[in-house]
Amino acid sequence: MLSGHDELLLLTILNLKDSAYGATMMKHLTKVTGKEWSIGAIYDPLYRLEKTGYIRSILSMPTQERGGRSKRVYSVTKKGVKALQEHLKVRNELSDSIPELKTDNRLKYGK
Amino acid sequence: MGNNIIPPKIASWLISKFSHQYHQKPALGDLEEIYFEKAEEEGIESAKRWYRKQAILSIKHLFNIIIFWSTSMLKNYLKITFRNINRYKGYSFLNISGLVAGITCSILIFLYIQYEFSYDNFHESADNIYRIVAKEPTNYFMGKNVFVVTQAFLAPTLMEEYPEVISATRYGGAGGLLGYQGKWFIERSGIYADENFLNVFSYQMISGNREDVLTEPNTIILSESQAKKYFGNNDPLGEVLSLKNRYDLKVTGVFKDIPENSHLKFDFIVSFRTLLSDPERAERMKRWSASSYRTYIRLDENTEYRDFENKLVSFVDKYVGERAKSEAGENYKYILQPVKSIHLHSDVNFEGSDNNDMKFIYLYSLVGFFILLIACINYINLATAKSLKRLREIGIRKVVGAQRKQLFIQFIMEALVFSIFALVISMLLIYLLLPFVNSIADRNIEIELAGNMLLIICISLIVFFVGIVSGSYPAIYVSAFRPVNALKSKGLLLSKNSLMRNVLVTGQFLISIVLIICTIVILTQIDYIKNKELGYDLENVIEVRLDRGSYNGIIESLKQELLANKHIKKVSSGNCPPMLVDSRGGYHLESNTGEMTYTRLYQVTVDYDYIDLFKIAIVEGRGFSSDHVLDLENSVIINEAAANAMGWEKAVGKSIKRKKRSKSEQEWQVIGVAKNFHSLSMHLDIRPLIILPQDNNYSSVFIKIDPDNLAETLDFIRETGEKFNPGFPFDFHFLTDEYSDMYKSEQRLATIFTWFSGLAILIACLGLFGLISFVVESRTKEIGIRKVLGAKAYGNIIMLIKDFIKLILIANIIAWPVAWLGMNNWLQNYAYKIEPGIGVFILAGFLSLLIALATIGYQSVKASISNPVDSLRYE
Repeated sequence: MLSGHDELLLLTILNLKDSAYGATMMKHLTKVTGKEWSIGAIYDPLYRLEKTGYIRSILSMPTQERGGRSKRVYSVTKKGVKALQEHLKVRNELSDSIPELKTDNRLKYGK
Repeated sequence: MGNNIIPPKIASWLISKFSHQYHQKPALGDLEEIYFEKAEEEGIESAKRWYRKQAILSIKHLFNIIIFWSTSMLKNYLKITFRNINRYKGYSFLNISGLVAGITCSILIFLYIQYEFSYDNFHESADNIYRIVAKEPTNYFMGKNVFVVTQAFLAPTLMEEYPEVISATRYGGAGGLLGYQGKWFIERSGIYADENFLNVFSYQMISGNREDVLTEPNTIILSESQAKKYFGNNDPLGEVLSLKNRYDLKVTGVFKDIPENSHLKFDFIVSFRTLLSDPERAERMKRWSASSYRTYIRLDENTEYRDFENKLVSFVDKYVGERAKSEAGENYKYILQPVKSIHLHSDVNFEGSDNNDMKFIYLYSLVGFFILLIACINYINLATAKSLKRLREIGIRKVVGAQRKQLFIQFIMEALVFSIFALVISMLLIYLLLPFVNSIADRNIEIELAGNMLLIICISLIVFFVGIVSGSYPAIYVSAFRPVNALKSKGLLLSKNSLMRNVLVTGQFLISIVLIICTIVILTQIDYIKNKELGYDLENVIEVRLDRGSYNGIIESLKQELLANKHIKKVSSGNCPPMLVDSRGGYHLESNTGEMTYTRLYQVTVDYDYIDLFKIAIVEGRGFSSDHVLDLENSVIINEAAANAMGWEKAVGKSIKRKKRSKSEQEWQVIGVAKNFHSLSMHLDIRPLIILPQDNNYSSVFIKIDPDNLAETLDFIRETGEKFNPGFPFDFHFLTDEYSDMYKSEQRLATIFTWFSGLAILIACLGLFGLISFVVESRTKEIGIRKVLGAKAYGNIIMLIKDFIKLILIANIIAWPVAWLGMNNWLQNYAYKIEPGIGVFILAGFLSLLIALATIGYQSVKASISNPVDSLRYE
């Protein structure tokens, strides 16, 4: 099973397509969730996800604008996509049968 | 991008240190990228703030990382530790038992000390309650010049004069026969206290309103258990108890039993107004020359008590001045004692409670620390010796890349595991031993981990102390092995650490020997006290305490009736037994030039038979005799010390006078001089004493019996007593018991030291035993070769043990002066004491040597007589 954190990270990587690396992910997550994300809160789960095989990463060449440091660019593997699909299915099934959540959602989207 | 907007250095250093290798570089890059963006959009300051926040957030993740990475290695260390415990069971047993003994001992000592410090802390305003005691600089009584008793009107006067005295109270002892509906009990621990008593102290009430239970005359409040004793489960409120021959008292309240850790203990309180309701007594109590009550005050919390004490100097001038100049000498002074300090710091006359002394607290802490240290040394010796067996493990670890730091951590961890293991066993032992400790210490210590933060902290400190102290030397030692040596040989390493080990063994025995010498000296001193020629004979003498007043006029017939029994040899009455004459009065004695000089004399009042019954020797003149009718009127006996103090060559016929309170002067002639006898404890010199003929002021009957038929005789005494004073419980004890009770604290010290020294030597021997086993093992081949070359078995034995003997001799030489200094200091408390001779030291040295030899003997003999073929084939 994926955790809420893992789900967010996987979705972010898919959202950012080819430019998913630490800085962009941090910014994206901060924008979407509205709270400050720390570097460790991103990299620790990413490390775990990569070990499980849900994502893979490529270490790019160091660039000048990053103080001469390389970046690790992430992409989601097929296995990862499948795990995410299953996860979302279970999640929707569970939440669809709860009316309170629906109205809540609608209200939110209505705004 | 300008160079001056680089991210904060400390923050980036923190992040680089705390991030995982896997993402260290990219992470720094990512942060920098966002940092520069932010710097452009929101300004440098905001960007820096953000960066620093990130750094702080990353610390949290550091812990996750540490735990993740270190657990795998720790798991391995733990596994190896447990395997080793399992593999070397004997070694582990020796080691853990040493630690258990040390830890148990030190935690028990901690519990005891904590209990001693808890005295009187339960009062709500404990920090602001003070007892006022009086210092009379020139008036030494029983060796002390501070008195716990003060004037009856000190408390109310202080309250009137000083606003910072929020409340003040006084109390005096109450006792006697207390009865309800014909059921009588002798009560000794009651008090008369005024209405402020429950305002100053916060003893808890069960029924009755603490504000007004003591405001009326003839009222009494009882402790819970006392109420049960008299009334069972009935409600005592409103019932009337009578204090025989004195008052009828209405019960107005019940209070919770006084906690054990209170310096002030009592079973009931009679209202002070009861005393004041007698106008004559009330008038007498107003005098500033009579001190017989204890005064406690509660000061305003902002008042510094030393300042207040200084203020009392002028108070003394105003109220006590007259008396101060006449009797107590100059500088009569009130001293304030914080109530919490009384138990450990107060040493005054008439204290009346079983106080302790801070000296003992220091002493026990020191001993506890040293025993813990011996246990640690034990561990160090065994662990370093044993590490020779683990050379291969250590070598391999080093070869595959273990750093010195890691090996160090491994060995510290092993020591911690041992120490925690020992702690678990210790805690069980402590639960079992606590009742025993309580009986030695005469306390009621309970162990409750929950809520006792200090205990938990102390236990963790002990465990860490043991772990770190005993783990660090082996850790340093082992981690320094060179892998090549470690994998190859043993001999090289064994000789290297022998100096350190020798020092440690010597230290262990040093501590043990000091403790042994102390124990021997304390025991000898107690023996000396018990067998010293006292100057009187207490053997088979029973003391019966009387209810004062009930026997007026009938005491003679009681004596005759008792003497009718053939097992009762002599009967006498007096106001105290000869070994504890704790009363004193001021007298005018006729000096050689004929003037009368004022002197304070210890005094005892006796009847005709007292001197005869106790076999007190008369060296000049004669004792009291019923043949001389006037003896009761105007004769006294003094002791040699009194005669010497006056410089009398011939004391008989000299005159002694005393001003009586109400009556005019009373005058006596000295008719005899008694040989000096120990009328005070051995702590004090024999002081001038006067033996007065009895004037109805007897409080005890002394009965000398025949030890045969004891039970029957005692029954007879009890029956006779009942006949003379029906309902009065006849309460008696042997004077020899009372005499040894006087030295209870010495007995306690002896018991504690016996245990301590036994424990210390036991732990030291455990270590020695382990050590000799390893020495023998590592020299097996050497012994074999020696034998083959013609060495005799005893030669080998001597070779093996001579090093140890040398160490123990050195330990002795250092221990002797240390113990001598300590014991000499302790013996200063006694006026009559032993001179610890060289014999005591030689005995201790011999004992330590014997014990050590017994410990190492078996192993070395076994190794020396073994067949060389076996030992050479070894390995």
